Amino acid sequence: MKFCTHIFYATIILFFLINLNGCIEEIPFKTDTGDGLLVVDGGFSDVDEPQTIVLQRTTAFGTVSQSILGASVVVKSLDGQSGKYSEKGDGKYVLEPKILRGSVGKSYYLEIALPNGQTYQSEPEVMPTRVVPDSVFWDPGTENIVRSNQSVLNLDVVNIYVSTPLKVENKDTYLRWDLQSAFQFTTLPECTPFRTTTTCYYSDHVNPQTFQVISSQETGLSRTNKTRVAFQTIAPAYPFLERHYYSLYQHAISAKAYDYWQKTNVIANQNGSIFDKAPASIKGNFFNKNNKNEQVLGYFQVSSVAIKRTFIRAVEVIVFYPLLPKEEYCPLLRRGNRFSYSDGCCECLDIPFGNGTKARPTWW
Amino acid sequence: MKLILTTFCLLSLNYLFAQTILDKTVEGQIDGKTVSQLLDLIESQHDVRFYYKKNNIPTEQIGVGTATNRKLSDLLNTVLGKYGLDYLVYDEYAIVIATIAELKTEITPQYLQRKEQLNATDLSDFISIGDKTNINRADKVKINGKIIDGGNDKSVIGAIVGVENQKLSVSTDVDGSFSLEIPIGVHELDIKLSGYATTYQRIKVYGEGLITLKIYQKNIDLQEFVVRDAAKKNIENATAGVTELSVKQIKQLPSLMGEADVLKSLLTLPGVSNVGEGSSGFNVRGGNIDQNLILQDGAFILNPSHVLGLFSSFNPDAIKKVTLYKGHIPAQFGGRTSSVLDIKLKEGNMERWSGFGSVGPISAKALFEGPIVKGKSSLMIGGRTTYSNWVLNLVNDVNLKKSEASFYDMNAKFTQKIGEKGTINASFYRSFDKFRYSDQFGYGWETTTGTLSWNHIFSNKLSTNLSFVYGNTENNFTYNDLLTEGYLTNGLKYGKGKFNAVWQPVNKHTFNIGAESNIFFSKPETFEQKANGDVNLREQYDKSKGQETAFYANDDIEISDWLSASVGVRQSLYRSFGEAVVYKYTEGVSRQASNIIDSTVYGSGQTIKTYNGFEPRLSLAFILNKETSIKASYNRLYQYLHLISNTASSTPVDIWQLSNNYVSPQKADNFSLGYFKNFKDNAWETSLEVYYKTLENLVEYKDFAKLLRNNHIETEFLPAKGLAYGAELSVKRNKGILTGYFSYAYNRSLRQASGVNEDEVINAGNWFPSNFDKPHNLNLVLNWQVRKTMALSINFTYASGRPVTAPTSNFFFGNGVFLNYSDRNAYRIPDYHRMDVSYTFTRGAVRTSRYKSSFTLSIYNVYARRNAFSVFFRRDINKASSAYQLAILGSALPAITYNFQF
Repeated sequence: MKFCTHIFYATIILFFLINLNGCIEEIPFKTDTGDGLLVVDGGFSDVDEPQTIVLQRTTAFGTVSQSILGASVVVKSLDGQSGKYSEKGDGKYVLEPKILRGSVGKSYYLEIALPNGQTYQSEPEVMPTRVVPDSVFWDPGTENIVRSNQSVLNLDVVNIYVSTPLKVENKDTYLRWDLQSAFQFTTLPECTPFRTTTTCYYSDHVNPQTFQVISSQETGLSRTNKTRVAFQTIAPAYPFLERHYYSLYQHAISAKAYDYWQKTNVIANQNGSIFDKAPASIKGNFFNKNNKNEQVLGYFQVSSVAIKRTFIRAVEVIVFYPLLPKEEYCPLLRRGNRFSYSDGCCECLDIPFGNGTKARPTWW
Repeated sequence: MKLILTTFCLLSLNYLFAQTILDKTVEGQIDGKTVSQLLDLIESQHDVRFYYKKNNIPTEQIGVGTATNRKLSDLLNTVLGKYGLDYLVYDEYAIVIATIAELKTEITPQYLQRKEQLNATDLSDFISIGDKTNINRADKVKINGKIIDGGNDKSVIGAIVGVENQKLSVSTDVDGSFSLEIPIGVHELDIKLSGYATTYQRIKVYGEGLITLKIYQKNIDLQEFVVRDAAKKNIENATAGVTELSVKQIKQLPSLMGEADVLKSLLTLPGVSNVGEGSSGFNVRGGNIDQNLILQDGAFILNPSHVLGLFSSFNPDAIKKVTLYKGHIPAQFGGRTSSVLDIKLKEGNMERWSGFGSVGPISAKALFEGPIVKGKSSLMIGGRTTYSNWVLNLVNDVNLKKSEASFYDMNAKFTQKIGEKGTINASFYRSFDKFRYSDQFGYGWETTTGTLSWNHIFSNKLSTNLSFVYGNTENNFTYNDLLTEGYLTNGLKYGKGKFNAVWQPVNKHTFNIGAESNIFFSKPETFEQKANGDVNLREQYDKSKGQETAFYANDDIEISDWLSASVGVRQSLYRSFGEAVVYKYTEGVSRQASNIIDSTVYGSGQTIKTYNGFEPRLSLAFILNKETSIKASYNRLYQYLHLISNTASSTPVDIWQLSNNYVSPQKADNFSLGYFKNFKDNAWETSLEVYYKTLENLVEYKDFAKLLRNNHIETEFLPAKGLAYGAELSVKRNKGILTGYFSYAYNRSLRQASGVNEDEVINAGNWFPSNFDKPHNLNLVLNWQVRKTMALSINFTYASGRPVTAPTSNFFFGNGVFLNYSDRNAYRIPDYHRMDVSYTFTRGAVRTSRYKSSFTLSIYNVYARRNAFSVFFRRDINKASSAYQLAILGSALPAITYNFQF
């Protein structure tokens, strides 16, 4: 029950009853800076993929985060296994599955030693039993996006759904859905004299601002038949000019983790409604081993993961959205005395969609 | 432009006071006019009114030439001097004309200042009682009288009939009758009743006899804004911190969408606030909204709002009197720790049918009253409804067109006289709201109450009231989303029985003695969910039940000329009872569902837990002189019923939780001290009150508490302490064509939750501001009687922003930006201020006219201030995180309302 969202719309009705002007506006609001707190982002699962932990410190409201370098990050199980993460820069620490891979039923926790001598640990969590979704599928749709100035954008989107079983009998199934979008982009043959092409692969999280969690206890369901996990806008159309994959990572998580992500969603989706729950700092499951009173942000989620994928081909998108030929997205531009195609059309790593790679994913 | 207008108004008012009436010039020809016609001419040109005896004024033509550019003083001296007449100016705008002899001996300014001349009956008319040819030789004789409403010939109940210089007063009974024992001789009676103009009548008493007097409801008379005896009360009444609002006052204030509003009127009083537009209820001296006992003819009103809080659910036309107790609360009231709002509905007219109504932009109301059996029984019935959906249909949005926001309420009251001394009243109230956004979600809430009461007057010294009340509130919430559709309901049902006796064994004591018992059934919360059209989840969460019984005695004592007191005790007894399952949690650790170690099942009606509370109440008034007093009070109060809400504004589906094993009764100790000083024969009232209140066992909440659909709701509660203190300054002007008041209040409201376990501590156990802590509150209300039939009202209000929890830093999870928040309520939203204006034009202001109507043009939020209701923080598309404010009102809101009565 998205109570706050509903009340937000209730507030909109009140606007129209008494005032036809929009009443949400940006204001200057100064607060003290509570920067410098340790934030741990990441978890540990049984999936056969690298596990990532990102260490950072909170920064003043409205500024970029501060990465923590030179830390030691180790995941341990209560039965004595451990795996050390490798530092990859920019606060990112990665554990290859060949070093340690999670097992259902075992308890794991994370230990972090910072260069300043402080050590932190998470509360141990048991890895729950995996829940495999029946299917992941999509359909076309439109979505109204209400901006902060109350203007509404009407956008064409792709909706992604999941059908999955829940254990209503035990009321102990807690799931988190993490949807990753991946697409390929191939350069134009005209770019090279031999008409050779290069293909790049891009992937990213969909709706990173919201954590999709569900529990059998809350819904009373034993199965979801068509639950929308996320939507993605069609425009700009680069990602849909060739094959586009959606990978659903269905994490079976603990009740505490479910509670944590739900609270995170509450503060992430505050909309100023008159009935908004009061926000608060969310306590995760980390603590400073030397100072229990220190506030540490983040939650070390121990999960078992089931992955389901679906893909969309450009020919399917064209049915409901007028995709143009790729050449239309790659116009010839005059650059000095020369004409060339726009960035990315000849070097696929240059298209403006984050970090791409020329390495084809193993599952592609 | 708005600033210019405001400045112009204020400057005009200053000018008005600076220039005396006599300095003004008179224009136009006066040849051929009589004195009376001349006075009419002057009245038409200036804000002045003349008072005179008709037989003093000659009817011949004056013939003094032109009056162009002549000073009023010159003109009056010339004209009146010819006939041996003179004048005096009273109260800046009234001129009394009389013979020179009369002015010297009888109608002196001092004499006039003691009279409410504008509302009084003819000063020179005596009524003789008894046989003047056979004067009774006894020291005192008994006179019997009756007070009737001059507008409808209806008996007036509860009017206070006083005898000047005798310190003697009685109130009229159900027939409007009274009796007095007074000495032979000349006396002056004053008849006072809220909502009526105070009337004075001189009598010559020769012996025993009968007298019938008429009093008139205050309509457009100059003194209507504040009843003058209220000013005197302000000094002499032993009850500290009590305010009476008349219906006229409520209607006179500028209102949102032209809908006169009881609760919004309260917000202009010092120490009364709310969290902002569109919020339900009100906060008194920093208390929660559930700490106010709202009574309508004795029935508890638990949800006093329509349209999620934009309007209050009381029909002003049905109301006789509104009294707010925020300092001393007499012992006959109990069950809440902040205030009592006592709303009395009027009884139907026993003599003839009449009606009231109004039509506004989004709502209309009508009320009718009249006799069933003339002189024996009457009926009052009225209702309000909205037609606001047409506004939604104007909006070019499919979802809003499918939305709905509607309400109605209705009052009915049947009155039957039983013999000479008894009355039975049966009243019924129903309020209904439906609010729906498209086909996505909706709220519904409704209240039904019924009251049956029997009043009996045994003698001049003893009267009793026995009443029974039934009340029921039901709330629901529906939603539809892609996955499911759900329907949630909750509510509260109660029954109440109360007996109260008013006993006046001697003149100086008035006892209220009685008992009441209330039984509450918090309805089970039900939840039904459908997926693909089939019900896949049906849940029921049982809620608590409880019974509160109280015995009380309160004495209003006039101890001496300089000291009066209101002394009371109330003993409350409470039990929570089954059917219920009470869970036992592991001692010494945080109370969570996972820590349940046992449970006990209680059968229906079986007592689970008992509490009791001894509640002493004391208020003293030290009357230093006729215009000065000091009041001090101490009150202890217990509260057994709590509204469970962790949002800034209450939602319609918030749960009413009764005290039980895990929710102890709230206890408040309230101290107040006030200095009251009136000036210029009570024309100006000033007061300065300070208060200090401690509270125990307040219900606070853990962060992100889940309060709906929770079988272990006690795991979300934190016991907290409360502290409220402040000072309230008030200055009122009661008399003249410009009346109004200014108030400033400094109110603090703090909370402390310092439990043993980590999640039971808020802000490290330190005191923190409550959601209603708004330290600075300023109100200015001005009412300018521009003409006899035209009135301008201006209201300005300022308040500190309410506390919020704000982000102090941000961090990244994946590619998302998230915020880390401060301690609870560590910051404040921007300050609030607003100005409203209304202008009322009345027709049919003549007392004898049966049909009266008026138009009220109001502008709410004149200078279109976008006051922040809340501040929130989020990241817009392609932008960094920013702070945003939500303002419920974004522009000036004009409205025109047509009011009528017949």
